[in-house]
Amino acid sequence: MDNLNKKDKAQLKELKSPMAVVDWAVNWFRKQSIFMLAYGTGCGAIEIPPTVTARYDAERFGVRGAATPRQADVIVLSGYLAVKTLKRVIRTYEQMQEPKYVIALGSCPINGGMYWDSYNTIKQLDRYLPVDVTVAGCMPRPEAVLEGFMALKDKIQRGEAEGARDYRDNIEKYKNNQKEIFGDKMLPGYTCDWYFSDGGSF
Amino acid sequence: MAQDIITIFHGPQHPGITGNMSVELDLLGETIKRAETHVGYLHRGFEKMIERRTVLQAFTIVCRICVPEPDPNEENFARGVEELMGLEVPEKAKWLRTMVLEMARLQAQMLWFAGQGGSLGHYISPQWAVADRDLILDLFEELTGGRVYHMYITPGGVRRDLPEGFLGRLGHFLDYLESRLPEYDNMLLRNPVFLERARGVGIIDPATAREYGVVGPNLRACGFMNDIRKDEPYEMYGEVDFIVPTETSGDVYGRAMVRRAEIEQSISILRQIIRRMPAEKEIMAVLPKNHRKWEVPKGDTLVKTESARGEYSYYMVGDGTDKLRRVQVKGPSAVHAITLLEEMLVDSQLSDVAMIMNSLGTNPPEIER
Amino acid sequence: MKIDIKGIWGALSSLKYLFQPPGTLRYPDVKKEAADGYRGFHDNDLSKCIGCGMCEDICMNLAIDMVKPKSEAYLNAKNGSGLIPRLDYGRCCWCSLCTDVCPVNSLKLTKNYVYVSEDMNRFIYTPGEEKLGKREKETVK
Repeated sequence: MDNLNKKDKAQLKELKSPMAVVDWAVNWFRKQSIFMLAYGTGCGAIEIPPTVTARYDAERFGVRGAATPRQADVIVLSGYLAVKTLKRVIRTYEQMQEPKYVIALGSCPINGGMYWDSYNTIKQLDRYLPVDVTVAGCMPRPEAVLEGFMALKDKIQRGEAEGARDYRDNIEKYKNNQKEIFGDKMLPGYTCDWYFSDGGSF
Repeated sequence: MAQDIITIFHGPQHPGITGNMSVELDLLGETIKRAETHVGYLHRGFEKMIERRTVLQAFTIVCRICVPEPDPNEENFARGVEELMGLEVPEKAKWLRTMVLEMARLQAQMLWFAGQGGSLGHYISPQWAVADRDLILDLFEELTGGRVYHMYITPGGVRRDLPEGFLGRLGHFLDYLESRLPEYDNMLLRNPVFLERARGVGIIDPATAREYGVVGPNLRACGFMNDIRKDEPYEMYGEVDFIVPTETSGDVYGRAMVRRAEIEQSISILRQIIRRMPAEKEIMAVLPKNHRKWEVPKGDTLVKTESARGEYSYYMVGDGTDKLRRVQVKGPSAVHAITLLEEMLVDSQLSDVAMIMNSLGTNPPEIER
Repeated sequence: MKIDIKGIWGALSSLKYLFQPPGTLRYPDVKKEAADGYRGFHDNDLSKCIGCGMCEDICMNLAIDMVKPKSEAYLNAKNGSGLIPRLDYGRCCWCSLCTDVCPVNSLKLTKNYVYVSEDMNRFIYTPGEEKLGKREKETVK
């Protein structure tokens, strides 16, 4: 699993030009080391310690914990998000440096989950943040979380893990959705004004 | 050169806190001058959601109030409904409920051990304690069908009977855990670094504990012998023998010693239950098949349970229909994490904040439900 | 300053675990089977389902809808309403109240628990007509 296996060698044979080989190599290096931000946002944070400690050992896949957003590659949103937490999560996501990815665990980010009629949780995470991989379950077992990481690695190798570029290109749509839910207490404009290439801001 | 006061957030995104809450600190150098807790990051509105569901549908949502230890919540809810409706629970169901509660207490204490070591920088403790705790979750998976959220204790009894050979496997696991406890002592609890850091830090004095309503191992480490399992016995706790361990120092080390002694008491209770489990088949009281025909009569009741962190209480009101009129939940962390923590952190060091939060057993989901 | 020799020696005694075999479950190579009675994903036996809708009635998350099947040929002859249940895995919490209340025991929970997708819209699932693979769904019939 760590060195070049048969699948990677078969992919290498199919590449056409030198630039494609460079892209392939950059993606291969990126997928081998993924730092996960230490932020337990909801219920699912109870199945993350078994995944990263001795019994299921996610470090065999290159996944380990990072303490601050500036050092992290992936943020794992484990379950539901209250409106107060969503504001902090968006601010943390915007502080992470590209390339960055988002994994959503559980059934609450998909369509509301068990708290579908609560007045304080958000129902569909896709409208506020770009999500790369979703894992089903309530809560997903450590084996399912490891499959989620493996799916993220495949997506990176194919070159399609572009959630950050999607956020940058469609910043108006995401910010309008966020303003609907935050209202007056919207995030300050300076957190995203470098996305506007003409010097404007939200 | 005069120093200024800096305000920082020991915030929601931090590797050194026990959940999703934050503490705002005013620092002078490395000494804390003022602390303020911010909660509300996990509020879901459980008490309103329970009012919209019938009693059978509501028992599946109650276990998510406290994430690391869901079983005392299920048991409280079930016992409250049984008192309101006047149901009689069969004896085998009570033995099974006691067994599940003690297993949940064991795995919560192991999770505390992992957090206490990890907050000091002693990273072997989380690796060992979480890996050993996983073996209890395997046993839960056999018995109830899920690792974390069991949904097993329902109003009227329990949902499934024991599988074949379960009590033998439980006995093997208890032997394994007893052989590992001296290793945990060597690693953390007799480590000279832990003794230097933990003795004399985070002291609660007995008058403050009584005045603020501190519960659980925090209270027992100040010298009081209060335990709901002995004072007002419920389920089968009146029939098993155990002692309530206490200490007198009231600091982080004393609380660690109380919890370590409680692990041994839980193992001894489980061994007694294995010997005395009856062999009947009836596990559920007789109830109407259609869940919309269960009627909760008018009245109100208050039920209490002792979880690994302290006293849980539920106040339930029924009004004659098939839904409950009002449920009020109070967990132990509301006092520990807000009132007690703000007072205890004044004049302590910044590097002790994570250790004190872990030793008090603060758990954010049950503060704001 | 007094040095605690016994404490330091005790802490160093864990080095003996360097020479013992590890206890890790190496996931994709070594799979541990889930216990009997594990609450995994759903499966429906269409030759027994009578379309009564009791599973839709008891689910409090509104995760089950009764819909028309893709083809009538696989329905039970005794299916009164002509509809079969369809699940939304964005709402389900795997409490198994729907399987407890099914009068003919056709809706069951299997031991399968892995499903990962890159698109949030692919989590609606009709058991009995589709099969949930690890990454994408496959249609069986």
